[in-house]
Amino acid sequence: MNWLGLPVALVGGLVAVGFVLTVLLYLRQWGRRRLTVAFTPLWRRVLSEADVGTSRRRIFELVSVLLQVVIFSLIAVALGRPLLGRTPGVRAIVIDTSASMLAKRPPRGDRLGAAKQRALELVDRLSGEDRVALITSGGEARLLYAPTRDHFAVRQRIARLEGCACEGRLREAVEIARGIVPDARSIDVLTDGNEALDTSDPSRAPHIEVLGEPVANIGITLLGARPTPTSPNAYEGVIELRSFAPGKARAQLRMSIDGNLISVRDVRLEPGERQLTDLPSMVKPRDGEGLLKAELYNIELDGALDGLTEDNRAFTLLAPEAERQVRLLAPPGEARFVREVLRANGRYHLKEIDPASAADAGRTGAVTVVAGADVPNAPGRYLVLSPKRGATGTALKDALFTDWRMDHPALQHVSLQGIAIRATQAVAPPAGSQILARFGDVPLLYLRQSMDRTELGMTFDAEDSNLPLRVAFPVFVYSAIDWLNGAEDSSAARTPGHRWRIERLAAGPVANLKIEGPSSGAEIGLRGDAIVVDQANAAGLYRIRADEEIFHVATSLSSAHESDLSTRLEATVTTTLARASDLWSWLVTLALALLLIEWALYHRRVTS
Amino acid sequence: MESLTDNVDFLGQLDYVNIAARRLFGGQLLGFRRSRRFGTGLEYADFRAYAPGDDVRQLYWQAYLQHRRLVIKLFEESAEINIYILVDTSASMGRGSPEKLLYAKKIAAALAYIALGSQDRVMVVPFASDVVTDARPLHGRGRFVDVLKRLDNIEAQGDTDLSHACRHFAQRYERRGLVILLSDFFDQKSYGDALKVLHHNHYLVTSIQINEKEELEPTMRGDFELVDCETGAVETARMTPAAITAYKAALASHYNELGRLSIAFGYQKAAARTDEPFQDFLIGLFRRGILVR
Repeated sequence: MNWLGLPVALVGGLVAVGFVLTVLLYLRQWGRRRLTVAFTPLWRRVLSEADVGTSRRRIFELVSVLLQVVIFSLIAVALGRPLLGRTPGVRAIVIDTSASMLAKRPPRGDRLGAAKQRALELVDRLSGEDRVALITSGGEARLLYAPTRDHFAVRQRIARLEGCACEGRLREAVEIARGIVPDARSIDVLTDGNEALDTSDPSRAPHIEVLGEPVANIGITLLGARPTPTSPNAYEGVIELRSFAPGKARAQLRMSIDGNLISVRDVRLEPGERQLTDLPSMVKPRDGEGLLKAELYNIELDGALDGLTEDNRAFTLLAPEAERQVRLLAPPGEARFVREVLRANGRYHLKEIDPASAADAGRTGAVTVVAGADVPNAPGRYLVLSPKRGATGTALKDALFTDWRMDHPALQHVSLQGIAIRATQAVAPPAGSQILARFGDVPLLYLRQSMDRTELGMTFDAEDSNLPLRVAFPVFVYSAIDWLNGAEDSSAARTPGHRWRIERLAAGPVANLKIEGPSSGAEIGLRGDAIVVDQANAAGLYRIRADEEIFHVATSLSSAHESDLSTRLEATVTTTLARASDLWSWLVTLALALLLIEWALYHRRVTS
Repeated sequence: MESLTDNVDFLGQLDYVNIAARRLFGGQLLGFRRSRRFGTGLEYADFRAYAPGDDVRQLYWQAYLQHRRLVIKLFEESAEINIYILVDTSASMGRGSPEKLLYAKKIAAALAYIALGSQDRVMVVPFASDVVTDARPLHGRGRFVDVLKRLDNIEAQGDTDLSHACRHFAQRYERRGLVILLSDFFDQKSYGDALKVLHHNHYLVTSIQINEKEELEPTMRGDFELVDCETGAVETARMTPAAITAYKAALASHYNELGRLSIAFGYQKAAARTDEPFQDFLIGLFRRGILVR
């Protein structure tokens, strides 16, 4: 049982003190109050005539104190919220804290508030012997509390939970819960249904409670900028606006650099429209990094209100890009699109290597792009854009990307929606690979990491699909090479809710380390010579200072998945942690009834 | 906190009041009240035949002229009486708010003031289980300060033994007179014996029974251990409405004997309660003709 979330020792002490007090009060009553009077013979005469001091009266007194003790015991037990008919166990509560949980539909609160309320109810239903684990899924799946009986602490942590302007990792969070609680029926997932969960196997399906209802929304789902090849201070960019509202949407888009307004325009979006706009030429007003901010104002939706504010703003830094050494391992005359993409990016120093002497290609330190050739086994970093010509695997025809890890930095700003694969062979990814994209059960994109080797690859020939013809292809190559270069810590790849690692130029201890930004709960620390930032859950510009070094990080939600607030998960399974077993109300009622009886006994003693 | 001299102004209203005694007592000093002796008073009393040695100034010459016989005209001699104010100082008189003893002192002071104004001899005699025998008779209003001093030195302590105290009082103060008995009459023994002793010794007694409100109408409820303030005896009691009613009946029965003996011996009796202003009590006393004329 859980006595108001207090430690059992403390509650035991309180109960003991209560018992002692009751008995002492009773003994005091039995001993009677002393009263000095002028003349006792009169009272002696009265008492000898009255029917007092009899055994009947003593019995009444004994019954009275017994009732008092029973009443006290009932109340003490009731405070422990006892449960009937259920054995103690381990319960895991998974709370979706992704950006979509911050959606509101006035006058109601946000979905996260409802999830927290529901989580508190679940904790309240636990008995003191039940252990509970708390897991969140915003940004990164985090185990906030391993199974514990300290329900009070868990309640406090739930109350303090904040949403994250980031994508969710509900599946990872559920996997963590499964690792803790063997029985999936003891896992309660509180989500808005924005992220699909595998419920096909009922024996492994957790209890999922879908909170909230579909909400209309428009937002900025992409904002990117890079310097033009011709001028170091001129930047080109792209912005994507999307509507997830059932009616027409109107808004004003304001863009600024370092607070200086550079563009204001009205935007109109049809229901479900995706509006991708190039930002051809932006000039940074000063040297160094500049902050590009896009913001939607005066949003008007037909028949609805904008549901999410986190996606109405997006930020990116206008920073000079570092030059990259890239090696291409492809048979001569093949991989035409790959060559074009690599050559089109002026910051890549491309060097083609002969497949015959490719054994040590990865040892140079540069990223090796492989297309239509064997992937070397040597340590290094490899981007495989098509398997070796003629390799066989699973035959695919008219396949689509059905599922992909859009939260992975290598897939930053990459939309694989609508990419069609005509007919190809999808080879099996290396053993131990992490699957980043798939068609049904067929892996399409994989990541294989070991101590000295990283391989990010496609299982099919990209040229067998329309991917090279889509803007997603150069963006994917760009993001993948950056990530493989160790650029996962670059500002472009950082998103709220993730743990950032920032390599310092200087080494040694730091006397003054601090972070300033929109998230008050951001934590900062040192790991080796690198700065690690965690819990930066809000979107915006963060300024990180480590003695004389200053780093800027611009983060945005920029997620069409989170901006789409139409609930997708249909299945809702209410937890089986039944309230019917809650006995406290019955115990309190019984205590009140006994109190009435005791009062009647006392009244009878005093008045008769 | 109340004190004995709080209501001194009230005493001025008592200047024209005299203590009345239903019976005549012979005094030694000249006073304002009649005595059994014939003497030099102004009020005509009787005649008798002249005898040698009589004061010729008392001859009633008009009677001689009419009857040719020598007749002496007798006048009543005015005399004082002894007024004993017995104040119960037992521990039970220390109960109440204000204390019953303080209330008794105030009444005693007021009555002493009246008596001294009437040229009577006043003795304030405290008693508990025995009388204090150092009382000196006080005469004249100028001695009122001595009365106050004596009353002020009295404290509530000791047990009550009225019969013993009265017996000792009768032995110590042989001069008969008016006894004003201020007490709560809470005596472990019967207080009737005390009244009988006083009656047997020809004292004229006026009893003033003093109680506090809580004694007359107890308000406590629940279980109590009652401790006698004088004897320390302990009684356990449950204060229920029925018990309170029974107590009130027992209290009334306790004081019934006082009334019965007072009627039988021709004494006067009054009852006071400390929550009533003592001036009101005295005025009520005078209106009922008790002690005053």
